[in-house]
Amino acid sequence: MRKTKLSSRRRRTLRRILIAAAAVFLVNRIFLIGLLFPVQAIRHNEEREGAGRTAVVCRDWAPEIYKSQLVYLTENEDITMLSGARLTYLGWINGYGVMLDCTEEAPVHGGWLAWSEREQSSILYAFGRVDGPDIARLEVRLQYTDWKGEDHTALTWNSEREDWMEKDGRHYFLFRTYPPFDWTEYHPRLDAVAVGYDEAGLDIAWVELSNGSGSISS
Amino acid sequence: MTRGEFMAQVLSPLGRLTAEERENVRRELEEHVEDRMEVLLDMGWDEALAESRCLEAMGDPAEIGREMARQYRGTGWLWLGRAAVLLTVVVCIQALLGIGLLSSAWDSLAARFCPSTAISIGELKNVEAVEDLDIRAEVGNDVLRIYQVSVGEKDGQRAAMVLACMYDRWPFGIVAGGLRIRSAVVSRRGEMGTSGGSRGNYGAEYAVHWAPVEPGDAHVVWVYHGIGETIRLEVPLPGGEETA
Repeated sequence: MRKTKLSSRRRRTLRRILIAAAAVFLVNRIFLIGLLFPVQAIRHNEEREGAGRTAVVCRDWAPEIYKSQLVYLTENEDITMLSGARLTYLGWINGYGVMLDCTEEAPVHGGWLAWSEREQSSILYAFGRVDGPDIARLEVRLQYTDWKGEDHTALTWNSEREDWMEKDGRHYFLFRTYPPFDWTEYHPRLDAVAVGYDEAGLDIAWVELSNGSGSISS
Repeated sequence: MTRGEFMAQVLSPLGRLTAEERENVRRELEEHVEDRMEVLLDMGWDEALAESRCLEAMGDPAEIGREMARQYRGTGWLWLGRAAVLLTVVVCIQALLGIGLLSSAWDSLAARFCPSTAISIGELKNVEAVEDLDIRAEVGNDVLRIYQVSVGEKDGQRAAMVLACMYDRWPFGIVAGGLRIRSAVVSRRGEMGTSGGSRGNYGAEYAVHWAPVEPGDAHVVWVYHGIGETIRLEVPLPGGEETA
């Protein structure tokens, strides 16, 4: 008679864990879904942008867009990236993102992003990296031109050196706010600039921020 | 003591076992008894007597039960095992729901071995020559592959059409997007070409670029702008060496 090997609880559990790990690996690798952690979705964003491996500077929860929406500011020596991840029935999936190429020397590298859901703008982010060593204060202005063609400053963010986040010896900023106008009524042309001031209050850097407005319609 | 009574006594202290575990224990004991009985039956013993002797030889059923119970302590392993099964089921359902995403995996493989030429159909007139190439260069985590060049006429001008694709170094990996906008083709004299069609998904990116060429041109250059690096690949034109 063939003998059945009595399987202990521990051995059986280890076998099940092994099968689960193999299933997760295959689905992650081949289907590119079934991600268990949001940071894996950010890795997908990195790959898609060709950014190389980045480190997380900070993370923001944005339930206004989706209940599970997370927004990550990540960086490496060459890029700064703001991108999102959210939990769906397919696991964590990557969302829209903006990448800044920081390989060219500039006092400030910056971008802004209007994240909207079903044409209703929910959140505005401005982010970037401050490389200018003399910059002590940064002012980010969000400007728009209304339907009459008149220019307006919609928002002004100010931050000082101690407010910035440091990662690998580099300084980063991230501003978040709600849009200052009703997005559903009109879509003004938006642009954003960053102005860097030194200790004496002189403006020593002026940079137009890259736009990467994202719209989520599903 | 009958076999049924023996089993009942062994299994009585195993109340915390799952039905599957209890069944495993019962089967294991049954097999022990059957093995021993086989030997005795071969020796010509009566079946009832053989079973009785075998059960006696197994020892005190209550003690066996207590010993078994000790082996099955630790509900942590039990819950961990259940979580692993649940995870496996969820992941399999996700795979079924995401079956359409296999096109990315297929494209990731196809770009390595047999890249598609469908993006170039109908764009080149009066084709003089078509040549398959296999020029590959690593760009970050990805591989840029130039796989076909044709010379013909586009918009009344002699031109070279270059087909390229890009894929991740690892099979099924994610490729960087925007091959078309990050690339350009430049003629030997430095004239910038134009971009043609493109398509792509997470598995592979395809792009077509054009460059004006003149008789005697031996090559054009595919330029790719990655993050912090620019790749230049010389693309030999069909028959270029002879006429250069």
